[in-house]
Amino acid sequence: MMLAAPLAPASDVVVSFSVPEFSDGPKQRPYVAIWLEKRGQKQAIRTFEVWYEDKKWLKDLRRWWRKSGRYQEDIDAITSATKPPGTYTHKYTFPKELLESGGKYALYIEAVREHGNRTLLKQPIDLSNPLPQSFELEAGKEIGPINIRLGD
Amino acid sequence: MRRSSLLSVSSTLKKSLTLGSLLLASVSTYTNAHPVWVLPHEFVVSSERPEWVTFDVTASHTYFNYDKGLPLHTVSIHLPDGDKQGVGSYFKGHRRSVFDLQLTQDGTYRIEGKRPPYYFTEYKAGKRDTVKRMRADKVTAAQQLPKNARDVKTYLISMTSMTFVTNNKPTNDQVEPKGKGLEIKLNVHPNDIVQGDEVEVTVLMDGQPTEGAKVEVTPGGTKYRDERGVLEFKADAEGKIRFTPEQAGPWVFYANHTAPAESKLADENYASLYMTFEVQPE
Repeated sequence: MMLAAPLAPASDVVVSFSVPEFSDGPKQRPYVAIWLEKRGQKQAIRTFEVWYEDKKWLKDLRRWWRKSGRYQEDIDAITSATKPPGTYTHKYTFPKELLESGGKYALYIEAVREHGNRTLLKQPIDLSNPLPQSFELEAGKEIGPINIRLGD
Repeated sequence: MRRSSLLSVSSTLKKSLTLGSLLLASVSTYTNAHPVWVLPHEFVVSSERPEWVTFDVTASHTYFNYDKGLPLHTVSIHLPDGDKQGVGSYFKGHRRSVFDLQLTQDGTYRIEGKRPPYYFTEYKAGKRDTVKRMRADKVTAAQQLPKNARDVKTYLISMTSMTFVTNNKPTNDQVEPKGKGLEIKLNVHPNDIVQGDEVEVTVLMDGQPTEGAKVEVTPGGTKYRDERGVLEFKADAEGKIRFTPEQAGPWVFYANHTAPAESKLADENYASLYMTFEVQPE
């Protein structure tokens, strides 16, 4: 019997991000989306996170709405309520077949706030590189900084 | 003389301002076209309940500032499921016309102002070669022209001004060309045009690619910059033009096409098409 076969890398992606305190104007909470795209593909591969209150304004997460939101049959299944400023660490299941594909993908984070700004952040992920991988993204006005750990 | 003739044209325009009469001027080499555009307040809508979209319609060179209000009885709404309706009640002001549309269906709506084709004759007369115009086909004009009329040319004119609005998931039924008149086919859905992504447009006449069609694409905000910023093209042998919009916001696409008329009633068919579209930020 073989001893300890090497463990398959965990097929999780852990994303930590901050929603900043807003000093200016009305304190609306941002709408936030986190999702995965493959370069050149019209539709997103998977949506990991969406915070919203009213579908009427979901289109303002412009890239997410174009790449994913508008195709969703059941928006409730992938969304949750908006959240106050703070730091959040969420773990998502990364599609296992993609982890083994050696392909090139991109993780996107988009945040938009009424009376505020829109921030779109992008992290390319090259799965021909060994796991685990981790990335730091500088903060935009409405979200960040962001830490991404894949297959850790 | 020439000046007074232009003035008389412009007073005719004031009297009966329709989508068609505005186009009269565009045929002439002496005056500029009056672009007619339809601008929705949102091109992309997400909704749980039917949402209202408001549309401004005007004839104006300045994108997107209003100049002349228009009657909207020739505007039709083409619904995602294939139905067609008029605009219902609307406001016609001096500078613009306005109507609202409630999006009760998911998918892509086409909003289209279409002027039924009409005949228009241009000729020169008098010692100074004054250009004169007449709303008449070639046969009728021949009976009415003065004896000294020169350079007589009759056009069959058609004009379309359209825009697309998508509620939730986009659909293609109202986007696909129907094979009739001057139309365009894009390499992307018209509500999916993104800053920095190349757009390829095929200009079609009765479903066939039109080599040499004239195309102008202009980003909004012309009033607030020195350069008009119009991108000008001639359609290639496959009827195609390509551009990469660098500026997000609403734009106007314009194409026109002339071809010899196979008719006793006109020398040339002159078709023009306007499309208002939005370039999304990345």
